[in-house]
Amino acid sequence: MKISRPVAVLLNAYALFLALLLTWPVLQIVLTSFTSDIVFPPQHWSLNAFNEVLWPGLFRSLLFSLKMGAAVTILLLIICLPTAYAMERRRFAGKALLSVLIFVPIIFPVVTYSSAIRVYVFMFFPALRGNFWLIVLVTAMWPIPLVVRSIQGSLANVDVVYEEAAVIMGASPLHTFFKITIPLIAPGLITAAMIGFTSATTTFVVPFILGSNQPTVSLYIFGDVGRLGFVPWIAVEVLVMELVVLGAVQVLYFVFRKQFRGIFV
Amino acid sequence: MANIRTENLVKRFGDFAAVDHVNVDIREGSFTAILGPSGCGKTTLLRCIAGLIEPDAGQILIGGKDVTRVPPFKRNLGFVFQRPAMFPHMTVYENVAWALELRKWPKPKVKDRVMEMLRLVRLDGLEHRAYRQLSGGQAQRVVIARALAPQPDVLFLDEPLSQLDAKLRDELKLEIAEIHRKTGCTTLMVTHDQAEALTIADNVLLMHQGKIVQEGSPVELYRYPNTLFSADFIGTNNFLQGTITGINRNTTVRLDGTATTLSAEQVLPGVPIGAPVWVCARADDIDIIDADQQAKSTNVVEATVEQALLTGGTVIVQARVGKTELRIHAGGSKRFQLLGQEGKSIFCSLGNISLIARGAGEGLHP
Ligand SMILES: Nc1ncnc2c1ncn2[C@@H]1O[C@H](COP(=O)(O)OP(=O)(O)OP(=O)(O)O)[C@@H](O)[C@H]1O
Ligand SMILES: [Mg+2]
Repeated sequence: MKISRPVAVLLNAYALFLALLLTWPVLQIVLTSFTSDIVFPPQHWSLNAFNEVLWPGLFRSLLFSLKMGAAVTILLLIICLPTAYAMERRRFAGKALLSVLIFVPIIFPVVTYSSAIRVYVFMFFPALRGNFWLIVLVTAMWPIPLVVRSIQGSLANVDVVYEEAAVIMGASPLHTFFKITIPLIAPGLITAAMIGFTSATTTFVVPFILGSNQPTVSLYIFGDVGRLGFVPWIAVEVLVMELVVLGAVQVLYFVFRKQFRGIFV
Repeated sequence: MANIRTENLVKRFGDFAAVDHVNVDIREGSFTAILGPSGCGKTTLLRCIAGLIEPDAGQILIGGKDVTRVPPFKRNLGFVFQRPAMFPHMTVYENVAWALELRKWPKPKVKDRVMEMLRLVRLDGLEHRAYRQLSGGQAQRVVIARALAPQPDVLFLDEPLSQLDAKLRDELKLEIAEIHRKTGCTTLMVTHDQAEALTIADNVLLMHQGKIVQEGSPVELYRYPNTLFSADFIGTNNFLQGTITGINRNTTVRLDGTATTLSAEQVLPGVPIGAPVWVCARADDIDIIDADQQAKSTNVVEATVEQALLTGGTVIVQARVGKTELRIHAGGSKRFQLLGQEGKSIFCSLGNISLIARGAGEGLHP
């Protein structure tokens, strides 16, 4: 398609604006990390902020967040993979209803159902207050629709003929699922896992409301902001968190990718 | 290797019977083609026998064993699909080795077998190629090798050549026949291409609207179609009305509205003298002869030329016998003499004709 020059200029300007809008917070965080005061544009370059961070506390919360991210990702795959498979490949009663209901967690604000769980679950099971697995389970709820849909989309793009071929050659349906279906939808699975992992490692609301014993990294930073306001070393904490989560996602990607090399090369 | 039998096999989609009370009896080691027009239920029948879909009624026996309720992965079959089915995340080698590794064959044995199969389908040397690095025909050969590697009892081929271009199709057609000859594996192939079925198969099941309407060797099907559908599908293009005048080892027929009598090398069971029949003749089999050769030729009729068209190798002649149209594909050096003969009378030998019983008031061509 050919577009006229003014339109092209306008489109480019718009794209630049979007790019700035999206990267500005990150740039600002990076800039602030390397200054000693909060002004714009930054005036005094300094590494002081790095000395002021309480590294052990930050790393403990980061490690905890990564652990939660991993647990949530695994739980999400356990819940969503069979669901997506059933929705895409099988016929069963109530399928239409399920495909609507599955969107419930994403429609309700996380605060509402976290609070409801806090009220009703803790009323009957006070011992569950701060329980790691309860927090993992509730954190996993929000991304379920996204993850199911994403896997379903990948499945729809993989011809059933490969699964039928495997079954005819003597593979049980379960074996076929793990050796044929999963490798073939691996790209979609990785995307799904990354959605789950990222949303879980940076989550704030659920551990906040359910009272996590160990703060997640977002809670930890929030606590610092509450006590001290926005000071440069909080920017350092945010920067470290972003780098660690990005790094973990990359590691996740490469591990998967190595596993399913055949599809990517 | 095993034989296959089905008894009153039925598969419905809603009210529609895609497979309608099918009984087949396929000999061990044979190469059977299921032939029929698009949508007649060929794929559905094949998938029922292979266990990929469950029939609504009837029985399937493979090697004498009732497998109607046995899941497909316990049937020991090979299947080549209508769509490309080579595993795209594996190399050629890994594809062919897959079923063997599944059966826990020792590594050296797997290697030998894979190489043997790749030689059979003429892909040796390409074992480390990925799916993207193969042509359509090569990928289809990988699937054939993969299906045959674990020595299945039956090999199913669902239009294995339909995705390929004409030249490759001809090549692979002969290769499949060769593979069958070498392995001796009972093979069941679906096709809607009658030439394909007649070339490779030793047994043909002709299917129409979910039913098997005729079964026999390619020659039987070609020479003695039993219904107008069969005759039409196998490529007969002339249907003349006649009446039976005599039956001994052959059947003699008089063409309605003429004094011409013809002889067919067959006896229609249960059809008496005086019964109306269709006389079937192929445009390709008809020879134009000189008037003085009538005595030496079989089944001679006199026809009036209405139109003669040169189309390269053959001259297509539209002629008339009594009140019936007769189409002739004339070859040989005499064909040029037919051009410009409109309105003239010619003699033609119909060659081998076949007969189909006809209802008393039944009209012309289906
Ligand atoms: N899953 C299905 N649901 C409903 N109808 C179906 C289904 N599968 C096949 N049919 C119908 O059953 C009939 C037979 O289909 P089938 O695929 O067996 O035909 P075919 O002879 O293999 O045709 P082709 O030569 O085009 O492959 C068709 O009319 C088709 O529309
Ligand atoms: Mg078909």
